[in-house]
Amino acid sequence: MKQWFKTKFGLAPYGEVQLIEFSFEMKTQEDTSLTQYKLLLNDEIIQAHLEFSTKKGIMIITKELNPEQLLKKENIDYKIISKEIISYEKVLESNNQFVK
Amino acid sequence: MSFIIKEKKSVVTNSYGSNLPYITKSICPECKRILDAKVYAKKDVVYLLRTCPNHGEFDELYWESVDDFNKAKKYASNARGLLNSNVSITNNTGSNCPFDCGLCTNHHSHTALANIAITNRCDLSCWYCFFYAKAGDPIYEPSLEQIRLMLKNLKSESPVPCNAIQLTGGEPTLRDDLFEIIRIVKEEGFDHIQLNTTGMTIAFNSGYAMKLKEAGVSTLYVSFDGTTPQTNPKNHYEMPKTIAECRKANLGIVLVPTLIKGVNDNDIGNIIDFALQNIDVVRGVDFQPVSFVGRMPKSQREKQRITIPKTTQLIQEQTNNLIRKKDFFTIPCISPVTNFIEALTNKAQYSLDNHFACGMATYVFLNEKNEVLPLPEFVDVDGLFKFLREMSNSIEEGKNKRIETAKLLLKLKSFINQEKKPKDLNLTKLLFDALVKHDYSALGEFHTKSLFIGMMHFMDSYNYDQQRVERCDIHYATPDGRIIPFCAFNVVPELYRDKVQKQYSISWEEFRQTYVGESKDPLQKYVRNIKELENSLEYKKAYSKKKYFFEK
Ligand code: SF4
Repeated sequence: MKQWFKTKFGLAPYGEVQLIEFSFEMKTQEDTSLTQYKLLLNDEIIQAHLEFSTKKGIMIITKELNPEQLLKKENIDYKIISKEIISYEKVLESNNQFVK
Repeated sequence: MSFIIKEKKSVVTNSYGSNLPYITKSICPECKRILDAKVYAKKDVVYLLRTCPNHGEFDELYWESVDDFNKAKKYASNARGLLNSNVSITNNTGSNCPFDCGLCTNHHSHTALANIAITNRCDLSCWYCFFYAKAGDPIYEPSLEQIRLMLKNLKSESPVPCNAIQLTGGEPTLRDDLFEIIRIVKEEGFDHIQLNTTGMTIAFNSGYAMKLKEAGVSTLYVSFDGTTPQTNPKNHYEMPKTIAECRKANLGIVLVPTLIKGVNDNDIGNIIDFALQNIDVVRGVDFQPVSFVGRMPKSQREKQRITIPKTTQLIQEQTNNLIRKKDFFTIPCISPVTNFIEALTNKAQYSLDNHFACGMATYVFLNEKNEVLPLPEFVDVDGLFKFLREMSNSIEEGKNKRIETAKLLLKLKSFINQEKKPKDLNLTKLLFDALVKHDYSALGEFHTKSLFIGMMHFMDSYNYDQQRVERCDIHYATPDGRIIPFCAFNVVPELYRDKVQKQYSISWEEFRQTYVGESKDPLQKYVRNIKELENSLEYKKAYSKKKYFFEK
């Protein structure tokens, strides 16, 4: 049986997740976009955005995942800025306009 | 005006509405790298060209006619943008479009129609469908609570809340709680509910259409690829029964043919003829030129690709010039109407500011002699829209609203040919009521006496243009609170459609074990009895006059 977590947005597939902020080195906007795409192909990465102009990235990933391993796997020249465990409910809250 | 961002700029590509050739962005169909792309003319045809450093050149047919492209481009309207976005972690630049959906603040259009997929189960197994769960696949069925939250999310769009929902699947009628879902959609304040269905459940359950109508469904959106068993293997035999049931319930249908060159493009006229023969219940035909799924060799794409100009040309040829190419207008042509009402009311209005190359449409009427009469035959559409544009500019510049409205009333008649128009259609009053009094009730009458003929060309990874996706106004809502433009959802399904459904689904076995609905087997497939269907009265009647309106 799949495990679900109760949230105010209905049953969710995650309870707690990791919010990772990092800086990265990338030469072009195109490389940055493609890297974001490749990261998002991983099931364990729930949302991610890499900002070329500031060279900062943000990811919401499953609790079990090691972000460093993941970024290394994608050959990203990175530095983790912060790691935080948050409830997935917070992510849902930030995506839903009616709670903003 | 402050309530709306009328001059929204794209952070990705800013050449919208430019003359050919111009630069946009596209993706590599192989690796999904975002690439600069050129939209250009070769002979009389428009192509989209880009080169991936790893996978080479992709030069794809974009539109089959430069003239038609330029005619549609005239109506490229300033998109308005949204004042609130969903995904805040993107820093709201959307600069990695289409991997930042959504909606992000780069997105240009509010949701005009929101799809909510309520199941991926289907009782058919069409070979070309990428959506339904095959045996053993996980089952995706958002809960009532999740559906309500998706609706709330759509209603919160600012400045224009979404007001139209399409319940889709899989086959949405397989959900035992469908009527409860419709009730929730109504409760959350949506005026238009469209049900995307194969029509099977309606055909074989007498009274089901009536129940849908009573529950609040406005229209059925039913796949109908042709008038023969060869061109329409999906529901050729069942469609007459579906129509008969909808007729009893007075429930409108829009027929949705997916057009594939060399497969059903010779049946276009017959499809329209079929629709006109059932105009009491068929409200429209919405052609969808094929968009390819996954990888496909160029030779096969060239064999099967059809785009909007070819579709309108074939409509003209196959309707004996009764419905002509020039009768079709791009969807955002309607924006002068929106602008005019906004100028008059100072309130943001529902707008259709999608890309001019996404779709075209017209209306045709049957007059008192049962003759086919396209709307541009008796309305000077270009003239009317030009006049409305001038009027809204005058109002925005501070001219007196009352005087401008009086001018409109005086001038409106001059755009309508009173001799040619259907006698029972008071178009001047209808337009005035809609434009000035904002009374849209009469527009319903307009719909029932006419047939909408439209086409919407969804993209695939080969003809993908970011200018189009960032203006897309047909979206998907997902249970994680995101709202994802249609072509992003389906062109990069690995990030959206498939990924979200995987997160929010349960296994086939778990679904079977926990299912508490009425079906004996919720995963059962439909078995067709051709003989019985062919012998039915509805079937014989429906296909007896193949060419009625367009007989040579
Ligand atoms: S398609 Fe729209 S929502 Fe998605 S990333 Fe592009 S602009 Fe943003």
